Amino acid sequence: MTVFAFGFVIVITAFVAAMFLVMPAMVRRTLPLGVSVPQSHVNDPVVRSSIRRYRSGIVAAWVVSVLVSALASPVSSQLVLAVMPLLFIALSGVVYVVTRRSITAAKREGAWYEGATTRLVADASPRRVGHPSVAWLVASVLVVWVTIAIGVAVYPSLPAVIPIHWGGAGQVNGTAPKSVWSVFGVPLITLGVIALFYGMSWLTLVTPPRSVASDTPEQAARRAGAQRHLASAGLGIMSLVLSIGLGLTTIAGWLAPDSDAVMTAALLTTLVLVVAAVAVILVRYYRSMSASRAAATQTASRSVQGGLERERPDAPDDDRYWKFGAVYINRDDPATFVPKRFGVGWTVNLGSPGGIVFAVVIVLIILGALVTVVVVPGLR
Amino acid sequence: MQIAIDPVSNVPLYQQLRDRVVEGIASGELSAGEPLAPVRQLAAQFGINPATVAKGYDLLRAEGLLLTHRTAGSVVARDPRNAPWHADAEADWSARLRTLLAEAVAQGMPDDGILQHARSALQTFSAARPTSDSTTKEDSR
Repeated sequence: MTVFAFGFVIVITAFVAAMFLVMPAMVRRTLPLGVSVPQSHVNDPVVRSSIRRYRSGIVAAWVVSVLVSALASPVSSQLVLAVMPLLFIALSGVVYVVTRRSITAAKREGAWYEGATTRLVADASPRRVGHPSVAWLVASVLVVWVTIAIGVAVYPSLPAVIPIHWGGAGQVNGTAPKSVWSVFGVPLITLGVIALFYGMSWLTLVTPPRSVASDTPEQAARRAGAQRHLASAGLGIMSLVLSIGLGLTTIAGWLAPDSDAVMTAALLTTLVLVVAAVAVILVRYYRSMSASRAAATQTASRSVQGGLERERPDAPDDDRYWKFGAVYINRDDPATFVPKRFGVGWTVNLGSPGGIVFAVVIVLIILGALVTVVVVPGLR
Repeated sequence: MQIAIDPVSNVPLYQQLRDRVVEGIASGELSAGEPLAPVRQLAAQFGINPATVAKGYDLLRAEGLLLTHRTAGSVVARDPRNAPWHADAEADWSARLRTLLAEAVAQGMPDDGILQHARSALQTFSAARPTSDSTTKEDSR
């Protein structure tokens, strides 16, 4: 079912492309395309034109990826599934790196930071660290327990050889002898994923917020609130949605292993749930971020009219710590996690021991997943 | 209390950190018994080396303005309600003040102007403080 695979990747990459397109409106105005600029230059013609070129570039990257996979789809649907998202991400990365370069160049040539007052700000009072909402954790674990309970009930009636892998359209293309692991493997992995998500939201709450000198206190509070919400509720919603999706597909595999329709319906439901959850989380995040930006514009115009309020200091130019505007390496900074430069959420500090360990673990997990999915079935 | 430090200033960051905390105590934003963020937490908020923050805290400890407990962390030890400081600490401050005054005099500022600066600075501290008793001490001197 090449058409199904093709449609699937087109929808997914279109969704990712849409996120890339709104990203310049979601990040700080003083970080256009992840380049740090002083407040006096947020509306510079170079900044505006670079963002325009970035957006056209993203659209072009998506069109090229669709065309390439249209050409590749007669060859192999697996190839399309694997290559098209990667191609799109790679092209978008190139667009980002190339378009932001003109801002960097204009900043250097025009000495934008010359005469700007820069400050680093922090709260000297100790921070009380809360814990992420337990409600999502409990709900997710409950869903897995229901799945396992159904599995226990149907276990005696399952055949000796059961399907464990399905193709893009729901047809069985992998089987295994019946065992506790082959039957309950997915629910057990789901428990691990839930624990991982909970751990992630806990880590992001522990991470101290980064205040920026150009933010008013109310803006900083709003931004910190949006990020805390993203860490706690956002990851919670994702873990619940994943538990429901994986539970549905697992139950579909037990009850109707030979029905393409049931499996397709379960997969589609999962997909719709995940996309909807991501959309809801991002829209809420976008709303609180744009509210904080609106507050900033208001404050700025008030200070122009009244002439009383002094312009707030700028955050220092910290581009040198961000390789390609995406990878943070700062040996002095003790923080393991820092807010992303151009995006939603956090990234690791590859200059800190904790950040290096975290990155290595993630790479090992990805390699391990690739080995189990690609190499091990090939050996059988 | 929000602290702002200038990363491109000639004044070292630890000195700026120490200066901002002293000003916070003078203006009543920080009072005795109030805790300060742990060194690593503050360094992670600034994105600077923890050793820099530790050095700033060391200065404050040496001046008796900060106390670090093993369990309770760093706590502000003194504020304007405390008894006057040690004689040698005061002598040290007086020497630094002399240099500061000399800078203004050398640049041609009249004595009245210097005193006016001093008075307005003291007023910003006492105005921000809920219980201003440093002014009475000032008057009795």
